[in-house]
Amino acid sequence: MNRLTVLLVDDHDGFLNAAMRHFRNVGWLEIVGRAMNGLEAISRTEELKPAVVLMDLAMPEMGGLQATRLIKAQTAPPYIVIASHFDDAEHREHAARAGADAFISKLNYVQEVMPILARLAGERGHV
Amino acid sequence: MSESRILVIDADRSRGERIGTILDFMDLTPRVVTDADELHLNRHDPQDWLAVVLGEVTDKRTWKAFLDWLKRDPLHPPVLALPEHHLDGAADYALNEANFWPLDYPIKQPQLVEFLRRASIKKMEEVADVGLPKGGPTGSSGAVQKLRRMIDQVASFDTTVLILGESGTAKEVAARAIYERSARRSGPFVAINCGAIPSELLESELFGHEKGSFTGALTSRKGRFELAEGGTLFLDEIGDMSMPMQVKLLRVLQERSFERVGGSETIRCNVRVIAATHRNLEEAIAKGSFREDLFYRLNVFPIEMPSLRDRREDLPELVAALTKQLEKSGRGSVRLSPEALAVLQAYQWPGNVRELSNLIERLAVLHPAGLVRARDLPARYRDGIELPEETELDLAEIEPVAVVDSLPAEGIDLKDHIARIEINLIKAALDRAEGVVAHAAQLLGLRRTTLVEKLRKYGLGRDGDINLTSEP
Repeated sequence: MNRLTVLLVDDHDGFLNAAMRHFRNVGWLEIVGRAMNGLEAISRTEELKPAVVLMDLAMPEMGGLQATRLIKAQTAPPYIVIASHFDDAEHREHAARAGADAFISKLNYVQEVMPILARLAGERGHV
Repeated sequence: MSESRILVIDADRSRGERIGTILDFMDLTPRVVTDADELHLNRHDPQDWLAVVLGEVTDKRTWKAFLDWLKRDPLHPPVLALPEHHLDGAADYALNEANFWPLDYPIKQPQLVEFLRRASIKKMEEVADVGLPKGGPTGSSGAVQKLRRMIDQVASFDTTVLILGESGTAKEVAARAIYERSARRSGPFVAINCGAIPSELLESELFGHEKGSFTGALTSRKGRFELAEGGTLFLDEIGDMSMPMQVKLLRVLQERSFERVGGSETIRCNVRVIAATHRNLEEAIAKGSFREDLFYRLNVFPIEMPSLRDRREDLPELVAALTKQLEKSGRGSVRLSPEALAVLQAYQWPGNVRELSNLIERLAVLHPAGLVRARDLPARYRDGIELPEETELDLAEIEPVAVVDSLPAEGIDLKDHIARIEINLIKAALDRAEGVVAHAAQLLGLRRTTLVEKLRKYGLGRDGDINLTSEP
């Protein structure tokens, strides 16, 4: 059975590695690539066509909000989850306005992202 | 930029280290230096940091160099100044007061967290989508003319307005136009997206809270009803509001009063409410997910936003307005060939004006200062359409640009100008390197991957307009 394909976007190597270590143990997930800024995220999304993009809110060169807007203008855009260090109404509203499908706190990353991924995998028949 | 990277400059090494440790504990990423010359500024951009904590300065020369570098970016991160600078730091360093925030020492964590949160919000506002031009809906179609008439008709009365329509039809633009034409225009316009905020937080966002009313309520805070006092409150995505919150909202609309979460004092309010939703509220009432009494309270003057596919004749005007907005905000520019415009006019636009705005921004980023042809549009816009023959006016034929080193009287679009210079030099290097990207990269002093990224960004090398070889 196909696995749920995910692109990881974050400008911190350490964060990407920690996330990879966790996701590697999840059988129904496949991390198809990583990107370290918004521009890279746009090209990787086009090239790899992931089902889900886990997008850091703030990165150098191009941040996650602008990248989300531009990726959502793509054909068959992926489901985009914005991960932010700050979790409050203003950050959530900005993410929603940019077209993100979900918002999670980076301080509680794995606990918040796993139910979202599990739901998507279930809906798409990956588990 | 990174929302978690904080620069601490303090000649008082132990204080700097203590602040660094506090930031570490907050799961942030501090860089602590005793002097600005420890930074290699040519390898950094001010946006690399969310905020700069400023402590004791000993070397005035390197500090001035740092300040000059920081101020070259008008959107530079805020300076969180330690007490020795509180009195006259902003004036001494010619920093805009809006970007100079006095930070207490010893550090009070709630103050530091709030400053960093605000710095992050400020950053998001600076990069938020440019949206549509102010002044109301763009276009001259019958549908837009009717919309403008309705806005003018209702603006001067203090009635509640309900704006309906598909997602992305620029309901906030209509709400702002009502506000701008109303007697409340000197008061605040406050917007809240009820669908983006979890229901357990929405009550405190709308009505505020008292200190200690829930975990995390470290201080008392005004809600959006209080912030909108004397002005207009725009409640977007009202159809996503939970039933318990609908009851609370109904009470405010009926009684014009509310209490903060955890508070006992009743606060009177003078706020005009404009609500909006993309949902069919009558269906929601039938399903039991929206209160009928709230619907009638909101539905005093309904305005239906036309979808973009119902006013396709406005598309060229909208594209022009969006492009102008992009240029004005310094985010680049883009030109569409007449054929590309014709393709877009035939498209269904399920995401309406918001989708068009995102597309224009995407084209401006991926084809800076270039001409976008029909075949450059993402596939979904071209589906089922036989592409017309196009005038070849693409980047490969871009006019050589005259390099200016003084500012022309009429001003200059710097981003556009620099992009053109870059494109010309890249093309010259590729010509000389006979299309070998690695050699061209050497001629330009770039890494090969950087050049590849630029080629992709400028759309060079597509469609065989430049013959590229990836290996020497």
